[in-house]
Amino acid sequence: MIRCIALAVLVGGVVLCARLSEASPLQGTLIFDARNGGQVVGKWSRTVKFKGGQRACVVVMGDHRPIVPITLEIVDEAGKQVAFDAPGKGIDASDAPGNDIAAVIWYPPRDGDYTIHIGSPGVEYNDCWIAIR
Amino acid sequence: MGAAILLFGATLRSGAQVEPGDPKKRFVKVELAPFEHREYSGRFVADKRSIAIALGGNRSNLALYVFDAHGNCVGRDDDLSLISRDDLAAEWIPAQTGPISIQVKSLARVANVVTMVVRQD
Repeated sequence: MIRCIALAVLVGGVVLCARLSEASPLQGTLIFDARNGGQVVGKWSRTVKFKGGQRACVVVMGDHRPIVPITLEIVDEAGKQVAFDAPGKGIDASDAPGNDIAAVIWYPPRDGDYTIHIGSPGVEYNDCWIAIR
Repeated sequence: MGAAILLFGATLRSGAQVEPGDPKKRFVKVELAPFEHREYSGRFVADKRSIAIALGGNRSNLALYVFDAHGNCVGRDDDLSLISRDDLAAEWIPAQTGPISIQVKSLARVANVVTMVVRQD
């Protein structure tokens, strides 16, 4: 029985470590929400270290109360924009469904810090769901 | 045998239209039953950044696949990490103007309400 438990713990540890090593953010997948630093007022920024050569992805969804056209921008250590998404661009109605859902995908050439900027117009809190993967 | 039963049991619905340039038709909210598969199609213009985003209620694993008119998979997101299992995004640039098929799949035994947006810059 003890052997089985030890084996299960070992296998679980190996699987967990494998998943962490696959994640593009070096510290693993990050989630921010209303209870965990995901409140966006005007601008939200966070610097995260990403692993080179692997798919990096940031997905953001606002709280829809109300729908506001958010923006999502990724900037590298040199201040150069590497990815940008503005779901409300070209849409006349600022409250059109989907205007507060944004995502970017990029492939960092090497390990490095990337700063995520999220813009949410207005003075009200936008309780965003932010997934950094 | 198990896989055959699973495939047989999966609900296949196709033909629902999305239009990346139309604010009303680029957005879909749907409840995916366990192991359900939904397919959407839309016309995309060549050489423009295109993106499909599918977000669930953090309830179950989802997968997102994008296929061109020839059946080539041009974008996918099926990362099954535990804490971000239904925050999916796939980005692609169509080589030619034409139909694109977007599939959202439930990979779990629980239902999940999925919000999906399809856009083109």
